[in-house]
Amino acid sequence: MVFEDDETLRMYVDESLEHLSNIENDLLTIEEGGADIDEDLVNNVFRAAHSIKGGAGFMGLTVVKELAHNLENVLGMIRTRDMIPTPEVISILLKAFDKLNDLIQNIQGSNDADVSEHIESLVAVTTGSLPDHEKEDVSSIVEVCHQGSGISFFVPKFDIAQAKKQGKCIYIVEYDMIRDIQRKGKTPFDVITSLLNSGNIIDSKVDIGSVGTLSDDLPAKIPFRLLFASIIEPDMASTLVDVPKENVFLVTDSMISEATGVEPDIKTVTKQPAQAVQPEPVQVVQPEPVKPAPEPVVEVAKVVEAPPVRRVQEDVREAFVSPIQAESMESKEDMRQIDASKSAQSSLRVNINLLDTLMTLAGELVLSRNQLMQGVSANNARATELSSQRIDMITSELQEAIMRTRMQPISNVFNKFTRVVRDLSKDLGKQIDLFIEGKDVELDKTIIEAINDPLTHLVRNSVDHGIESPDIRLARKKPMTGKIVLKAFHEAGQVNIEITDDGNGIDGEKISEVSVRKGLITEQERSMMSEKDKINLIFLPGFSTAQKITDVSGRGVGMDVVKTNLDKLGGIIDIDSVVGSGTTFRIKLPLTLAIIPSQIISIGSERYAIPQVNLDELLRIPAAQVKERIEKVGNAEVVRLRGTLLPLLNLSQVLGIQKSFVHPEDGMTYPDKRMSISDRRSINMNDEGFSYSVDPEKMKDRNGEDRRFHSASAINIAVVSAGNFKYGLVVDRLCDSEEIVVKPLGRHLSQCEGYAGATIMGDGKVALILDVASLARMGNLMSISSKAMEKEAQKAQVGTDRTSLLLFRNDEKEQFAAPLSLVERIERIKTSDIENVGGKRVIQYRGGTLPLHELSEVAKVQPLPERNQHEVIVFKISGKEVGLLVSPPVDAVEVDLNIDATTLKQVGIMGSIIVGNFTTLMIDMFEIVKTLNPDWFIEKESVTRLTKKSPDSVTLLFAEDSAFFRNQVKGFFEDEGFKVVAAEDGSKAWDLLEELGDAINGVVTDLEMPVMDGFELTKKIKGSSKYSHLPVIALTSLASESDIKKGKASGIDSYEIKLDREQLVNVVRSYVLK
Amino acid sequence: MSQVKSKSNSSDMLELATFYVGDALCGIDILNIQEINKQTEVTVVPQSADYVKGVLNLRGKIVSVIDLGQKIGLSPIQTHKDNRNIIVNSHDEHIGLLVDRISDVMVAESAGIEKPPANIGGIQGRYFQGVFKTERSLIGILDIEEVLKD
Repeated sequence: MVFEDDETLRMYVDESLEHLSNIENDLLTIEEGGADIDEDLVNNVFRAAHSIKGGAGFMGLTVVKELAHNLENVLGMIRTRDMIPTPEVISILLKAFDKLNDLIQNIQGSNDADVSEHIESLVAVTTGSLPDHEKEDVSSIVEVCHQGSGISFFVPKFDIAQAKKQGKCIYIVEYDMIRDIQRKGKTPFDVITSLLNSGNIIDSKVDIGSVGTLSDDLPAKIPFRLLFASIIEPDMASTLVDVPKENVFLVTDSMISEATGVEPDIKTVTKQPAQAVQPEPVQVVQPEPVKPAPEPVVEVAKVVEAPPVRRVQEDVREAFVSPIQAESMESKEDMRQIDASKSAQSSLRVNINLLDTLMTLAGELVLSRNQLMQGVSANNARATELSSQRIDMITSELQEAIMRTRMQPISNVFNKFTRVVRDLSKDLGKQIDLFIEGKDVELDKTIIEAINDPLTHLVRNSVDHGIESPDIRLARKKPMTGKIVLKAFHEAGQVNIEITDDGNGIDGEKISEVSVRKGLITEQERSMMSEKDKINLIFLPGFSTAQKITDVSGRGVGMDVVKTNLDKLGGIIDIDSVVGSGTTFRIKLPLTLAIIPSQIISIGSERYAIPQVNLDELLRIPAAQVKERIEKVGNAEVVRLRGTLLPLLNLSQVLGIQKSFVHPEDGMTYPDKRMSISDRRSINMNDEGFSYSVDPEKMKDRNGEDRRFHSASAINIAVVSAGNFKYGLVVDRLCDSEEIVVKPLGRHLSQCEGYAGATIMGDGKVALILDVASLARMGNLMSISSKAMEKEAQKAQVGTDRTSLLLFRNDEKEQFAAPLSLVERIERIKTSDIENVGGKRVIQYRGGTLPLHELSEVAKVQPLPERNQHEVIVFKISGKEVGLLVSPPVDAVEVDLNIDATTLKQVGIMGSIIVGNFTTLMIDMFEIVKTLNPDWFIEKESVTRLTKKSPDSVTLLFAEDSAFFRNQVKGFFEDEGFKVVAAEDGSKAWDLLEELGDAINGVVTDLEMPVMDGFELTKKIKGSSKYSHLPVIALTSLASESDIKKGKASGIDSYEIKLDREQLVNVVRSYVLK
Repeated sequence: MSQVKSKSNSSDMLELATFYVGDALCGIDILNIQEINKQTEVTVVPQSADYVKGVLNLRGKIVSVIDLGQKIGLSPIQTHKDNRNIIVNSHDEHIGLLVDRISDVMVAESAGIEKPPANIGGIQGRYFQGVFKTERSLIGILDIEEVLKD
């Protein structure tokens, strides 16, 4: 009587599988909780079992119903705290749920399956924890029969008793599939679900027999009968179930009788499964319009108090206790294994909203296509352009929406390992804790499915071969309980999965020895292998480390299969292992699958794509700066980038392609002959017959004019990162950024490192996708000792103060600079928006008024030329924002601050500096504002007076090697009224401190100084008993994280930026005036 | 027409697409051939083996193009307007074989196919399934899998 309606059945299967999918973890959590029951969780599992049962009854899946029912009983008892979920109970439940899962996976054959073993153990569990008088109820069957309609159910007495115990009324509900369900636009599942909300279904069946045969007229009705227990009172019942009153019957005690005479179908199920599908006796009885006997609630209560205890028929009971089918653990394991591989999902649940979005997008796409076609056929360029823009947009949205339907959290795979580890460790007598990290990491569903098997294998391996048995662990002085960590995280555009155990470790020696013995490698090869290579031998086909084949991981499926599977996905597996202390398997998987954003670059005439995830930034070193920014450390070329040295890799060199450049004069492309990036480009070099070592004599000849001035000589660098390793890829040209579709390269190209695949560009040509990690390996970049580079970087930094400056013009010919740290924002405004109010220029800005000034108001410089728009640099001085009108270009640079503080000094200008061959005036914004708005500062001074100490009683010791800063900062402090003693370096400062002793109230020091630097000075001060109370404020131009850490370690109280006058003064105030 | 068809379908007849690699006339069972095109502009793959000419876009698929001359030990195919790509299917992958020029399709009777000699026009015998003699020429029937083996 299996319901043949495919659609409904499939829905039932899908829904049930979904219910089952989370049960395992819930159960394990319940187990963990022990007697301390989390009701929500138990309810979850209970509901799952219940819905499956409900549906099964309807579909005629008797065996499923039976199993689900017994599961429900046990869970019900856990829920009411009549039973404690011990590991034994949970094990039984888990196994039964596995079986249930199997049955549902193979739904057509489910009625022939044998579940007696499971039912038996479930019943045993139930009876085991019942009060004696209820024990028998579990297995005894009663008949619930409504005389009027001839409806009867055979149900375990236990259920009736349970329902009554909970104060529920029991109803027989008769639905007419046609009238009550179909015509109301419902599905049977809706009905079941809605009933489950208000009670539970004890039994259900469809009376197919009453429908008649094909030759009959269309059936008037298909009755679907339910035995339903609910706390809803009788008078409400019919409204609730949405069935006419006459089809709802309240079950009274008198209707329940022991099942005699009639063969209960449960018995049939277990004994002769094949016959279980016999239809119910045909009883085409038109139910008389019986009034739903509304019984007073009082009586229900009475029933509850006196649950009917009746004798049980022995034979019925025996039906349950059928001989144990010794189904071994292994065979079940196998079965699950097969199912897991088989059940590569063929359907996927998608959020309706998402689906709607997709539909809308598809609709829009069709419309835009029509427009495009029309535009093309009418030769209407404008229409074509518009619709192509539209299609562009829709495509992106569509792509994103579709990706969203495919992404799934990795927990789908990870979660099942809790169970795998639990079961395996139990079998093997080991104690293992499994830790899972990064459950939320999302992967494309095809990848999720494909990594299931390899991961299972690796986890099993860790449990079986990795973690030692408890006694060995104890002997090795390890904690008894082993630990396996499963971790997933995103890195460098890939998903990384790590499986770490703290077990045996893999012995490379042993593995290589076995490999030699098996003839997989030769002794000679072995002798040349590194430890890591040896460990990696376990991936060779035909290798198995297990001394004895165990049932767990020695299934003849070796690690080579794991590797092949991962290879197929474009993944990488790597092993780290220390003998005796553990193993880590690292898997890297592409997130990719299909579409990735990337940067297109080119070398010579070929284009290449760098995945955006690997790309940090794009760098263009102007011709003029090549000399100072690119240098050689050892054999490697490096570029100076914000104070650090970045190794460079010349892509053309690594790939062995001829580099090219566009000649600045004739616009033609010529091959680039420079050997090293920092070499000067010279046509003469051809004639000289290029040699690898540049002859110093010849270099001397070229010392005259530096020809690197043309923009075409600039060097383009893509800064990429492979994992945590960052380097610069020197390329000919930087092109667009595009979304590309990854396509695999053929097998003849598989030995080429450096490519992650290929893609097709807009013009139909192929471009290769670069794999930056392999490129770095190919260029031997990793071998450059990063330490050496760090040292070099430090050396380069000592003695200079590199600061970020904002460059701008006032008049076109004068270049100015301000410390970038003082700048809040840069805005572009229309001249027409400037208002002249009260003799001042202002602009409405972010809901307030921003005063505008120009340099010529204060300093003797050329006035700002008239333009219809202006750039405004917004500074924050004294808590107020002020805008400075300037002319473009506005640019940020990083320079050594060699400021000439005398030659060009004037009001508003602190001095001059040479930036990019221009004499640049450094503006003193503080002074400018003070000159223009002296009243801004009055208020502040009055506040200062309120503090206890007055500034003039304070003497600061100030150490700074640059004369400019020494004077500048000293000036800041003296303006505030402090006394300042200045020193040129740390050691002089220390001498001064010794000399002046208590007269000093605070120390301000530069960090980078000759003889003794700021760190050392601070250490000395903080280390001495006499001065350790002094606050030390460090001044710096560029504070890197590591510097700050170092500074904190040596005792620096605060870090301040040199030219941020206000902040500096405020901090010093707060320290010394307390 | 129907006669030809039935002929070619019978097991002892073999239809060969023939082409020149250098001076050698070679043939491939026509059933192995996906298509023949003259898309000879390829994207060079740096660092690849010499015989890999590059990759090209065949209706959205990336196809490796192999210089058949170099692959089987002759000199590289000279660039010429008659150059053709013979796209064959091997191990679920399309691969382009660059040849000097293509010739006729010939019908060979299996009975007329002989075992290859050790060497045909400077090409090792192992690359051939057999040779087929016509009145005017000798056609070496290429063993695609052997040729494409790394």
